[in-house]
Amino acid sequence: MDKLNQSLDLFTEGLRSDPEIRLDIRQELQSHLEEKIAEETAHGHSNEESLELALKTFGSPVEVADGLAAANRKRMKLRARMRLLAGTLLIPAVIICAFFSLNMVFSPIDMISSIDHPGESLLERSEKMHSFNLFRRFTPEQEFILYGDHTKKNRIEQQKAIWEKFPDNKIYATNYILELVNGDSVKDRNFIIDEIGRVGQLDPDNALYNYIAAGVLLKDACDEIQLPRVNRKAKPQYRFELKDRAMLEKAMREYLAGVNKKYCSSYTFNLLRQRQQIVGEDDSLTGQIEKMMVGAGILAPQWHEYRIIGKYMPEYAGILIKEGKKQEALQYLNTWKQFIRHVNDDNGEWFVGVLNTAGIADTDAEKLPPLYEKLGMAETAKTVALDTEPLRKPLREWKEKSWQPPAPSRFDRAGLLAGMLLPWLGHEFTSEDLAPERYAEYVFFQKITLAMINMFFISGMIFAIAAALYWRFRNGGRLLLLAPPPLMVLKVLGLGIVLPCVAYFMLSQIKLLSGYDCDIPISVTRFLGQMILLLLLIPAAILTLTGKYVTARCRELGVAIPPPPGRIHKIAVMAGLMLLFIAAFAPLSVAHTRFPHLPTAIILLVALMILAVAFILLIGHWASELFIGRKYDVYYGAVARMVMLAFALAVLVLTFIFLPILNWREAEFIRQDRVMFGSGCTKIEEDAGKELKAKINQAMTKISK
Amino acid sequence: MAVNSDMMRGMAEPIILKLLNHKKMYGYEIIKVVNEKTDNAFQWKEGTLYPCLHRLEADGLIQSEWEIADNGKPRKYYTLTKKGQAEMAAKVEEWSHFAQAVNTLLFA
Repeated sequence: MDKLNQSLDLFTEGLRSDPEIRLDIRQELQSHLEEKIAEETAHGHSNEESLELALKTFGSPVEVADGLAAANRKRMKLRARMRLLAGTLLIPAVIICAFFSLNMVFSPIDMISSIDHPGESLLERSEKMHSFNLFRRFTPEQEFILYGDHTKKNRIEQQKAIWEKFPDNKIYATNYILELVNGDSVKDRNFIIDEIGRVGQLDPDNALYNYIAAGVLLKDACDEIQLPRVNRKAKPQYRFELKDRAMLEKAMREYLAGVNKKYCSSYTFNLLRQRQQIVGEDDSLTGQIEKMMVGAGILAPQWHEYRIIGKYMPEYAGILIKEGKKQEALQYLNTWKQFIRHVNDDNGEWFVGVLNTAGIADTDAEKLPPLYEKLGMAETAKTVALDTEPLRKPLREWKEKSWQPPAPSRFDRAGLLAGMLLPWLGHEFTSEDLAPERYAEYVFFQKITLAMINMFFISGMIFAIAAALYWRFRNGGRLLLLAPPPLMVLKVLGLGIVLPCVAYFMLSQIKLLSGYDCDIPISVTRFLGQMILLLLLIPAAILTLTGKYVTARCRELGVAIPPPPGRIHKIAVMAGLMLLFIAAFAPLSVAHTRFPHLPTAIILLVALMILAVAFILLIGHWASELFIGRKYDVYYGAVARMVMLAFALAVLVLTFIFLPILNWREAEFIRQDRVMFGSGCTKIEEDAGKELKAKINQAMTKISK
Repeated sequence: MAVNSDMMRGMAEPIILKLLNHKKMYGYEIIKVVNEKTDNAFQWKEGTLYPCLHRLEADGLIQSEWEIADNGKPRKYYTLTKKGQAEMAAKVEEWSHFAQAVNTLLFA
């Protein structure tokens, strides 16, 4: 039959630029000639004679070849253009998606790790972790204002660099001082005091610098020792201990200079607003976390300084009374109103700041009246008690109303962030309050899964390219690139990607099955199962559909097809997927038991083991033909190139259709949230801060009168 | 009597469309049916059928589909499309006028 093959090659000579068309037509002509030969043989001719007769009636090879080339020229040109388009557009688009997916997998990891390092830029975190952050959100100038010069060795130096660049800017100067006071890399007290004085010259009417200097000195001048508690519920008691009298006096002189100044401002909120403006509005969970991180990255160590001044000033007045220096003691005692007014002004509406003001008022209410009484000023003592009461009352009332130890089940329906940040606020939350942030977190992890599926596809593509090259090399350049009909492409996209994603979305709406009515730690094994199911199901569906198409097409084209894997493989894969489905959607975990995740985890593990065995068997089945035999090279080459194409399309669909849908859903949940996302802290915290601040301000107006 | 191949030119397409109007057929089957019905009057070079089929397919008049035959081998079947049906009717009409005109001239 060599002559038949040679003739077929001649007939299809003009189609060699498109191997698929050539094979298709060659197969058609071969089928015709074989039938004709069989007919002639049946009429009594020998095989050779039959072949000769068949070829004779078929016509001149040149004429047939020219006719076929002319008839198929248009089709071949179109397909060549499509190949060029695929090569020039699809591959770069997939490379972009690859970077995008890498970024999507790694930047949330950077983001989560940054929670422990507020104020450090994500870029810096990425550099440290050697991970990936392709898309810089900020310009270098914005990065500088947000995080300082991160080429410097420590935070103090990094933040100082901002002031050095803008030497007249009080906000940046004060920010540096606050970093200096808070950081532990500079131990030299005299240097710190000098730096505070240097910055204070920029802003001579601001009491902050005196208070901070006083606070720094007080830390070395005195101490308070906690006394043993009478019982667990008793309020802790402290004993004042003087370590350095001269330093205490120096601190108190600073304090006195401060209370006589016009105002007190640490510019914390100016800096926060400025940085938040740079961060901008971002409706993603990572954007919200970044906003919180910017808030947490701005230090407010002055609150600690205010507290110790509030504690030690009455102690110093007490010492003076004991020493008979009554006038001097009175001079200090009478400053309490001005000091608390300064503190209240600077603390703003931030919840922790309001707690700070109320804490100082609490100390004043306890310590000042007895001192006034010692000075024989009983009326003033009463007035102080009356004046401080409305300052401490709002916080006390709020505590009584809200502050309860969180029950283990209270945050079962919260998100991870809410579970971390809200319990200590003691607010009564409903499931509806917590739902949006919880859903946003689920969507956030779905996005990571989607990026991981993309990474899987991209790795698959790289592998397929290598495999296709290997078979091409081994097979002397003969390789098939099948052009799938549009219906086939739609089938792969529809059944391979859209159906699993939509089915998962529909099932996730049934909270009993998806577990999305509980927080992630409670549903973690089920959620993991869901993500693994998606991660395996989508590629498996695409591979199956693509494989079936290539097999059918190769059969049409007369390309040798390897024997299909046995029933055992199919049964194992189906069983594994069924078990995975059960692990992903069956509500088997029971919260607040000793091993809540055990049933789901066991099913998940068994499912993965079965799938792993099925995979190994499958590889074993193909391995001998894949790497040793050459019979099926064209088939495997066609599969590899088709898989490459299908994966590329899948990556594009996931990136440009499903990722935007998830982004939109995430933004919707963030917008619906009324509890978690305030401007720089949780919304609940922000609201509580505003409410308490309003009450304290009201009380402050009264004491001024 | 065999028909001259020059006379065949231009007739192949209407004949193929007409045959496919009745049922789907594969290349060899088309040749056989033509030969049977015309008692081998058309001396077609069988190989020239395929460029003709592919041209018709490229013009959207017919479409092909591979099927596995009873002997287990794949066969490419052709069917008429809607566009092909309309074209077939037009070609038959055209041929009818042409034949009538030729007959009038030759046999009047």
